[in-house]
Amino acid sequence: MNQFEILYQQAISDPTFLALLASDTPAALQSIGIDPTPEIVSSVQNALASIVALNGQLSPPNITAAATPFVS
Amino acid sequence: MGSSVLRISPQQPLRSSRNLFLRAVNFQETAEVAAQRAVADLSSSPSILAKHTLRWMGTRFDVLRAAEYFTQLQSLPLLAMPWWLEESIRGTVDPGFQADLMYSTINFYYFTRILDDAMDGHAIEPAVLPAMHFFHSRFVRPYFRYFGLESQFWGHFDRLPAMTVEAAAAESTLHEFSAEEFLTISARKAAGGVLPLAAVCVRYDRTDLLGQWESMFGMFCRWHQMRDDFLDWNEDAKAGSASWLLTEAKQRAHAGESVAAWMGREGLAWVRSIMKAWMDETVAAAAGLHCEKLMTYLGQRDEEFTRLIDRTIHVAEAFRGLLGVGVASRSA
Repeated sequence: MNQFEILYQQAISDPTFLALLASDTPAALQSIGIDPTPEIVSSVQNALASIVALNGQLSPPNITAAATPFVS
Repeated sequence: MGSSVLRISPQQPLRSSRNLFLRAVNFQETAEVAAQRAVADLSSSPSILAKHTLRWMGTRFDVLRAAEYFTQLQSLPLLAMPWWLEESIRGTVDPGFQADLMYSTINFYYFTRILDDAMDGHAIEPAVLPAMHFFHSRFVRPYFRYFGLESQFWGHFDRLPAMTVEAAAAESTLHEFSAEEFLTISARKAAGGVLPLAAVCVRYDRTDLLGQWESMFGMFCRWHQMRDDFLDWNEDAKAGSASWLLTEAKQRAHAGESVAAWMGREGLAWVRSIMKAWMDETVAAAAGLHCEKLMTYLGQRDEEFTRLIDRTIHVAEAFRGLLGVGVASRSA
């Protein structure tokens, strides 16, 4: 699996990685071994922008730490 | 919650703890007290077993806020369903009874978590394994307060937890899952969670309701298990763990296509479709139970998951182009 396939895999399965990608794109790319060239950073940020455009925000619902009590 | 939560010191014996339950009148408070009692019972006397078991629990849960694990929206509503069932039968609940059910269920859950960790090969100290006796005895004991040895409850007690441990045994033998194996094994691991529902039905002489509630719970459990498998697919794939989702990915992927690429191309939509159908069936079954809180809960779960999978599909669409960047980079 090449590094861009790893990027894709992490992006669609790991909300924490996606959040890092949004907050510090070069660091997130480097964490999976991708050289954060300006072209690649720009491509990633365009992808992130399109997600925000579709969803209004980037983050998925908090699925690990939510403490919404049941309705009772 | 907050300052209104009733707290139990580890030194308080069982009977005194139960008196405190009588003052806990809402679901959240009762769950807090039951969970605190389960932890307090373990830590009530200094022992090697308690020390190691509390340390293990600390790696799995926030022991100081043990109830949250059971009452957050994304959890199986193991404590809430018996409460809702009793409310639907009587219009109110006996808080002491519900607290005892919760205490039992929480101990059964800890029992099964130790079992799971040991069976899955997760890091767990051998010194923790004997705590299964501790948790199992406290899972059983509350029921003796309500049901004599001749009660039909004990038939359900024999039947339901046995389904959980049978499913655990069967699952450990599988390296791939068919749809049927997912439905008859993976999705039935939580069958023991029906036991407190059986207790409510037997206590209030409404065993006519048990079949409907058990059926609905089973439908919900397959949805809940598939959600877990979806959330964990990448970790499971890395760890070499099996699930029906990963089996389908291997079978449906094109030659040379990775699991991630399949997920993005069609797997996410496949999961969404199955989850929608299963939630619709669960909601239809729940509608016949005349329990507004259950319907609200299912609506919240459906909404939360739909938002999650739709967003993940959008992420996959947005990042698909970067797979092409990788190809271009390699060929450059």
